[in-house]
Order: sequence, then structure tokens, then C-alpha cells
Amino acid sequence: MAREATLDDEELVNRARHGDLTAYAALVAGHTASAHRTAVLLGAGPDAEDVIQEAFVKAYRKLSRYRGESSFRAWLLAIVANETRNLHRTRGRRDGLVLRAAAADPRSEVAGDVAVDTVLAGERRAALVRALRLLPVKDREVIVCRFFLDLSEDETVAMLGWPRGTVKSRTSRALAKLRGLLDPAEVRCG
Amino acid sequence: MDDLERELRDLSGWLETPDAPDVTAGVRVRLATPAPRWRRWRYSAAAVLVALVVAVLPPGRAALADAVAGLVRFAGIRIVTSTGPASPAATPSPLPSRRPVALDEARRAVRFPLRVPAKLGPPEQVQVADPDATGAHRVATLLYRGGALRVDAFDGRVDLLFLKRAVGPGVALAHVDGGLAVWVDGPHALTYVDRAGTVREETARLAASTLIWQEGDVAYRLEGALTRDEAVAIADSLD
Repeated sequence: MAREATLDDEELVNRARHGDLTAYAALVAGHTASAHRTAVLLGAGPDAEDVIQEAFVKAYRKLSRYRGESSFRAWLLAIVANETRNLHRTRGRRDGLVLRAAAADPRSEVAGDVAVDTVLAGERRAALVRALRLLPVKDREVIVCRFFLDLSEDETVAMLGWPRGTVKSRTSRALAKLRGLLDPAEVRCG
Repeated sequence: MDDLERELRDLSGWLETPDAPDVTAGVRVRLATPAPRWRRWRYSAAAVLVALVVAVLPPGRAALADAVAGLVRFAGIRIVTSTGPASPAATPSPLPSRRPVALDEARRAVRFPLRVPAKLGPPEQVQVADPDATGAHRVATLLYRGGALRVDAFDGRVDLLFLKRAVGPGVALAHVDGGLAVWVDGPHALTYVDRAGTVREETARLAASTLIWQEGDVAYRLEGALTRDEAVAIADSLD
């Protein structure tokens, strides 16, 4: 992590709880990237900045409720997820996942078989994104947590506020649905 | 980990996420300014604005009352502090189409999560009021102590900035769950502004001490013979 972490989150949270805004600013700076990525992946689109600013303000006001039962990051991301849901509720739409343009692929300069492989891999990724867009919201949320934000099962429990059993079963069900959505595509390509 | 899981992890790096903005300064400014600013809600402003406007008017400020009347037209509640004696509380509510329901039914009859204060436990009676065309009710009321203690939950936001300006004698600021709240100590007249903008006066009775606060998209009003600390403790215990 790029942050110069002379103090760990726990210590910063302690100080912030006692009104130390500089300590809280350090927490904000340290977690902005991950909060922003979460908001974008959950579909906040151009409102992601507003969402995370709101989430950081709310998190500060709720700090007394954070008892260290999960990582500060997971606790914060739960607030970000909640704010993103509020946004969807008021806005009535959610922005889907956007795949990085092929031009951004450093491997796209190569030629021959490798280039063909690259094209196929790109098509596969696009198919995966299309399939993800078709998943129900909760399925997508758990996929985002486990695979895109790389949260542990514990952190996912804290972030989504679901029981552990639900996180497990929802993950495997979401993966099964994804496989089902991808199968026809594979048949076509093969 | 199977192939699909590996693919998903690989896909993670390919997903377009714009560079994260620096919000540190913005957050600091917001935290250093206790009054919530409207900009916060700029994305919700586009939604149907069912603002709950609560104006607390000290006596002798009739000019302000007139100025406020325009603002109140939106929707919500208006409170006017009164020096008159409190009347018995056995009168109809100013809330339109009010009816008693079971808690489960109330949860289905409103669009917001209906929360119950843990400190008070299950309510003795639940009521919903002011339905829209689709049957979604705007207000849910939890009654305790034979109706002497009540929690109203409104689908909408209180204009806290406005509330703060309206604070006068008998009215103080408080905090619920870290957010701003307003405490009206003593009897006052109560007015409800319904969806159509009709002002419904509750003339026959004066409300007991009241705490007003906001959590999420829901505005709350707790009324009863309580001290401010008791009221805040109940408000803080919303599940």
C-alpha cells in the first residue's frame, strides 16, 4: 500500500474517535482507492466520488459503533455499499461494469498466434462481463466482494452484513449461474 | 479454486475503474462544519422530494412564521411552541387516513425500513397513515404506554439546516447517533403537511416533549413525557 503507515488503522481509529481529524484524514487517504473502486464496481458510476465522500462522513459519525470486530476496511466498505444502494434507490438505475479498452492492453502490440490468443481472451472477458451484468444484484455484490475486491470470507460477512452461511451459499450459487450464462457462449466459440 | 474463479480474479485487473478522487479535503470540511449541507444530497434531489420540513417557532416571531409558511408547503410537520396550558390528549391525529395495523403489516405498508427502538421493545400498537396511490404509506407510528409515548417515522428527510435556524426558546439541539437532532421541551402545537400540501392542524391537543431526528432516508419524531437524555437514549437504540 502506498500509504506511509506509521500508525495502523486501529490506532488511527482510536484517535479519530477522540476527535482527531488529522488521524481521520489519514484513514480517509489510506482507504480512498479501495472505497472508490468498491463504489464503481457496485455501479455508482459518475456519482462514486459523492458516494465515498458521504460514506467517509457517515463512518466518522458512526465510529463509536465500530468495535473492531472486522477490519476497518470491511466496516467502511459496508457503509460505501450501503450508500451505493441508497444512490440506486434514488436514481433508479445502476451503472454496469465497464471493461477496460483493448488499447490499454500492453500485450495488444504483439503479432501472430499470440495476438489471436489475446483477441480470444478479450472476447472471453467481454462475455464474462456481459454475464455478470445479468446476475441479480446480490449475486453480483458477493462476486464483487470475493473476486474483485479480494475480501476474505470474514470481511465479506462484515461488508454485506449477511450470515456466513449465506455468503458461502450465495457465492456458489452466483458462480453456478455465471457458468450457466457462459456455457452457450462457449458452445458458439468452440 | 476452479477456472471460473481464476478467470474472475484475472478479470478484476481488466475492469475499468477511474482514478480515485482525493476526497480528504472535502471530508474534512464536512466534518468541521456541523450543519449538513444540501450538496450532500445532490443525487437524491433528483428523486421525488418528499422533504419533511419541521419548523420550530418561538412565540412572538409571527413574521418568521409567515416566512416559514411558504417553506412548509412542501410536506411535513410544523411545530409552534406555545405558552398555553396543555389540553387532554384524547383527540384525533392530524395524520390523514390513519389506521391501526400489525407490525408486520406496517413493514409492508411503508417503503422504508421500519425500525423499533430496542429500549422500548415491541410496540403496543402500530399505525400507518397518508398512503399514496400505490398504497405506500408515508408515516408509521409506534405507540407505547397506552399511547402516551409515540414514535413517528416519516418517509422523507428533515431539513436539518432549516431546523437549526428555527431553534429558539424551549427548543435545543441534541445529537442522535452522531447526527443533529432537535429537542422541543414542553407542550407545543403540531401541524402535519400532507402529500397534497394541505396543512392539517392538531388544535385540540398539544404535543408533549418531542425529539426530532433523521437517519438514512427516514425522519423520526419521538413524543412523550421524557427528559432529553431519556429521549436521546431511546432514539439511539433504534434497531
